[in-house]
Amino acid sequence: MESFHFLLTGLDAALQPINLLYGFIGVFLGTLVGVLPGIGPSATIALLLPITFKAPALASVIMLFGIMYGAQYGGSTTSILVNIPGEASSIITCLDGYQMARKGRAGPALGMAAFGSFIAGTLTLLGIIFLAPALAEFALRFGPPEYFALMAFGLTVVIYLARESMAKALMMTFFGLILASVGFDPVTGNLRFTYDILALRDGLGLAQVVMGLYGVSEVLLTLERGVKRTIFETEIKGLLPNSKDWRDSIFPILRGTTIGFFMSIIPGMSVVIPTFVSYTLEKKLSKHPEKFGTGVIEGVAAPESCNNAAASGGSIPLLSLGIPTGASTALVFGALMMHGVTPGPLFIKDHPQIFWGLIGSMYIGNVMLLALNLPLIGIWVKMLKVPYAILFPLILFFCLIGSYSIDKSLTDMLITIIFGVVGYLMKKFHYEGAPLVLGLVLGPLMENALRRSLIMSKGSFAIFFQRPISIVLMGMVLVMLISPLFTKKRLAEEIVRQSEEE
Amino acid sequence: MKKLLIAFSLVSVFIAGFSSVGTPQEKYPNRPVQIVVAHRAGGGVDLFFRLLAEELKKTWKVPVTVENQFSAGGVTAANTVAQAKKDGQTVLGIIVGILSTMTAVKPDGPVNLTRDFDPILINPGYASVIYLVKSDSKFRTLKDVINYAREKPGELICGTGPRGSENFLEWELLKRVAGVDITTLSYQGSSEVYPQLLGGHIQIAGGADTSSKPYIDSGRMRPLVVDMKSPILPDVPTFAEAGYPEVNLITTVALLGPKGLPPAVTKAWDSTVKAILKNPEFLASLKKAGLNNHIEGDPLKMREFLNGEVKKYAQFSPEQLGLK
Repeated sequence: MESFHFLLTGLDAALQPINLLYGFIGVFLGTLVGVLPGIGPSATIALLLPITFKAPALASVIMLFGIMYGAQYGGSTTSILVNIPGEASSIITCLDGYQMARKGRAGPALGMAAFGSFIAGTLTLLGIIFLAPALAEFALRFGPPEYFALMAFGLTVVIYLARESMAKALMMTFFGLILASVGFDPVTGNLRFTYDILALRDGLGLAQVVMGLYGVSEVLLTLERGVKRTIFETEIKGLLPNSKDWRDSIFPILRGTTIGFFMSIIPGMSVVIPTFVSYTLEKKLSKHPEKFGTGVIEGVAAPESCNNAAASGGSIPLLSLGIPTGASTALVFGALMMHGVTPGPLFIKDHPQIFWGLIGSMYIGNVMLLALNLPLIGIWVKMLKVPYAILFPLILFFCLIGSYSIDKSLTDMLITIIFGVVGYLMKKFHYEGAPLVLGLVLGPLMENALRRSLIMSKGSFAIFFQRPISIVLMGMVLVMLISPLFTKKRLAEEIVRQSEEE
Repeated sequence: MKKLLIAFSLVSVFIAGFSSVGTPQEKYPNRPVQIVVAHRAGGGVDLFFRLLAEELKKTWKVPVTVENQFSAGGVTAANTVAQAKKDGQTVLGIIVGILSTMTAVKPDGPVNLTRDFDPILINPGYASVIYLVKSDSKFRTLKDVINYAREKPGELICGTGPRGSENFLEWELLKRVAGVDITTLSYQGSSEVYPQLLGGHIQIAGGADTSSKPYIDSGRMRPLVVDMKSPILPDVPTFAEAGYPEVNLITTVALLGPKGLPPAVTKAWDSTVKAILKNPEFLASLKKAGLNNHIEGDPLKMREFLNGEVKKYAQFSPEQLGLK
């Protein structure tokens, strides 16, 4: 019950005018970038990162988290109305959402997406309140070997569940790990791969790389192919789902929330894969699986609750273990570090005002999002009409200014441009960005954990197979890496194939 | 006589000219002062200079700003100030150890503490580094640790700061002086190393006295030894009190200007800082932040201290200093 006391203090902190303002900016921007295809929450957080250095720590994280879960709300709007997923996490929502819109049931679809997200957000908060402190205590059992095994596990999961080829994801992960080795050697302090360039001494900046990889590359890609935009002209009739819709949706919402919450705790999971799992599960459980893909409301409710639960649940490993679960949480991690707050096992104990303030703000943010999304859907559709000739130069401008402002370095701008081209090529040849970013983020942590473990064991790799947590994690890593050789079929392929068939 | 008169007038013109050039210096500081801090915003060093900047602003009535340039391990900040105008408007706030190690390893390298900088003020031992064990540990004193390490070489694991930091080098010194083998693991800071101690993965951990106080107060950790008397934990013995006076490193912050600062500038700082140190409010906020107030502004004493620091670090190998 102590948690509830803290939650009240947290709500109190979140209701402070400055935190309310930052929270509102966060969820508003989040919804905005969610609606706009091209800019995702990672790029937005990267853009806003330098601004947060000047704001108080709590207000900064409230805003950044607001962007993260706000984008999950916004992403569904365009999926349903125009069949363009605003976010990768809303890809699956297109399947049934757009079909509902074509039948004139866009209102219930949009409404159920918003209500489902709200319910998921609320339940996830309860999960965080009860599980986060326990997870934090459990996290103390993680020494260097356990951390190494956990990082290896996170990277392997991303590779295993890759949407495209598993080999390509493996390559991208190692590319990220190699990029992460630029700069000071964490143990000896030697310089590696810096070529006498001062800006490379601290390694490649995450924000600089991500802005290039996501922001600049998207602009380049759109310039090349142009964007086909056909806004659905049908009038949206009725906003609220009826009672039958609710009966059909309530269990999918609960199941989607559970899947999203627990899957997101695993580092490297992000929000895309849980939505696929949740959609597939609903189809398997449904009495009328053949109707999936023709506009059933469960097909919207489950993945939309799932992505919201996953977006909030992703904060648990970050806040209680100090491990970012994806590109967005990695950037929030960076923002916290800039404020001298290191997320880790003692974060909840050391910074209860930030932790519970953030939790409180997530609840208030969910209320704000519901209020924003239901009446303002009409405006979101109009946002899609901003000409890309105006939008894209702005994105480019903000990416470069943002990159320069971090350390006032022209080299950083160059890094952003180079990774813009790298990202463009990756998209053209169907290489995913997530494994690369995760490799870059986890690389230094993983290297530190590996080398500390080996110092502890005097050079023996047996240390990873002598401690229970590490044995379990390493075992799962081996199974995931070896099993495709025998089954020649992977879970993710199965899911993607099944959903594409519909 | 005429020649003498000309010479005299020339001299007087020269003096007049010189003094008119000198006027703005005498009035130092009449323009904004920028303190380039080589460490991240929000840390102890940053806090020290921000507190100082607040007081300077009040006394001097000019803006005193703090800018953090923490990239490349402080080299960027050091370069910025070393190459700045020698007018005292741009000064460097840094942990001296960073510059002492570079100077000790490569006296003719790109950055040299005594060649490139003039000290403005120093705060030796601005914060104490404390070494702790978990409260259920069998070690009660530093002697217990040394005796155990003598019986079982290499078995004890101590979590320290990064290579080259005082926190790391103090254990290198102790191991050498006591003739024992203790495994050390480098961590980035106390928020990273304390969970490892609490989880029992390492047996000893080092960190700032301020960040460790909550764990000591809550009974989860027990202090063994400290490198310099801590004002907030006065009962913890120093290395000297524990029988190892040779372990004599302390973390010192300094405010440095580019070499060749006009005496007027150093004088202005010295007198202002002396006055600020009499301000009880400033002293209270230093104490609240866990920072010591052993501030020294006398140029001769500072020179002597800094030369001694470079010598202290010269006893370590470049590998130990993390500058191979």
